[in-house]
Amino acid sequence: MDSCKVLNEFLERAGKLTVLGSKRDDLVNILKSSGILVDGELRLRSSNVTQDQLKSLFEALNVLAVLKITAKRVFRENGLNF
Amino acid sequence: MSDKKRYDTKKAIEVAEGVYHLGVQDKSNSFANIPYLVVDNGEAVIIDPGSARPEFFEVVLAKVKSVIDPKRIKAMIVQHQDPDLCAALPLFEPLIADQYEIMAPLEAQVLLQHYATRKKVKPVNDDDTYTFGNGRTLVFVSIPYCHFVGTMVTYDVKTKTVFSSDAFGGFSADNELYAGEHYPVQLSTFLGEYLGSKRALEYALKRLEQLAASHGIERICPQHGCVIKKEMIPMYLEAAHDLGVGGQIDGLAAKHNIVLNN
Repeated sequence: MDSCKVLNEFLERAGKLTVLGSKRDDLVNILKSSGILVDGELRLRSSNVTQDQLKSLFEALNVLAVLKITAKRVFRENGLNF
Repeated sequence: MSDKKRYDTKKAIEVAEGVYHLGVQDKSNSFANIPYLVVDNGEAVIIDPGSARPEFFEVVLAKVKSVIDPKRIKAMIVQHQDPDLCAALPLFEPLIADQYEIMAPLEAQVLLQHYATRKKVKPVNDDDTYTFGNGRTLVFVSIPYCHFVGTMVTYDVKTKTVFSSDAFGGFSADNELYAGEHYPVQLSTFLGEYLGSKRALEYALKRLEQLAASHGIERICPQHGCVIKKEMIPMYLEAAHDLGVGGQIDGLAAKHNIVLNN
């Protein structure tokens, strides 16, 4: 399982769910708190992402319910059941 | 008909003859709330009247008033009982016609009373109809377990519009009126997670395909997301046929080492 690939898939879907304004900033900050850096277009800037970081991200997404639902689907499809 | 591409907080948008989109954008949750108003010859019906939260209800009411006096609403149709679809029922009751009906699937009837509606809900079954004074007909089509046991959609014979409730809904924080390039992802993420049964989805899709073949479908109007125009419908039907649903069961079964026999 390639954690970068999984995260990119999540970020791509998140972008298409039209995460707007302050919510986009919230997502960027949540990613940052899990040690994951993205640019303003929600493109991954880190070259290495660990499974622990994905788990941390998943737990922190409670404040953005739709994105947590999205993460749950993407992660599950890639064999991650947190 | 309006040629608008986005909805606002003031005016209803006519998406077909006498069919008005009363949508409220939900930037915070990507969960737009979209009641519809059907108006014919001065008589109106509201389908899935929406949320009771003031920031939703007040917009919906303003949009109704931009089209017609709420006193002209003679029926409220509820396609299943979720609060985002119908918590506004008791707020609308004192504002609409003195003689009105609330219609919903039988299985939802026993739940809707808990919104403290004044009027007893009239249960409807598959193929039941609502007929306007001048003959315009709305047909109720059951799509059980998709995602509630009694779920139904409503078909407007005149404009060939399907009001699909959660079916064909999508997550969207934006206020686009019509399904665009991102809607497949918005739809599959929402529908894929909120439906538990592939069998239920397949029945719903095949029933809609049957309806399209026999009577035609010009547009699908879901309660979340965007309106799907006729030319896009085959693509979304195909995508929905391919959609994996109920995956959370498999995810949790794997997590807890539970073996399920299909």
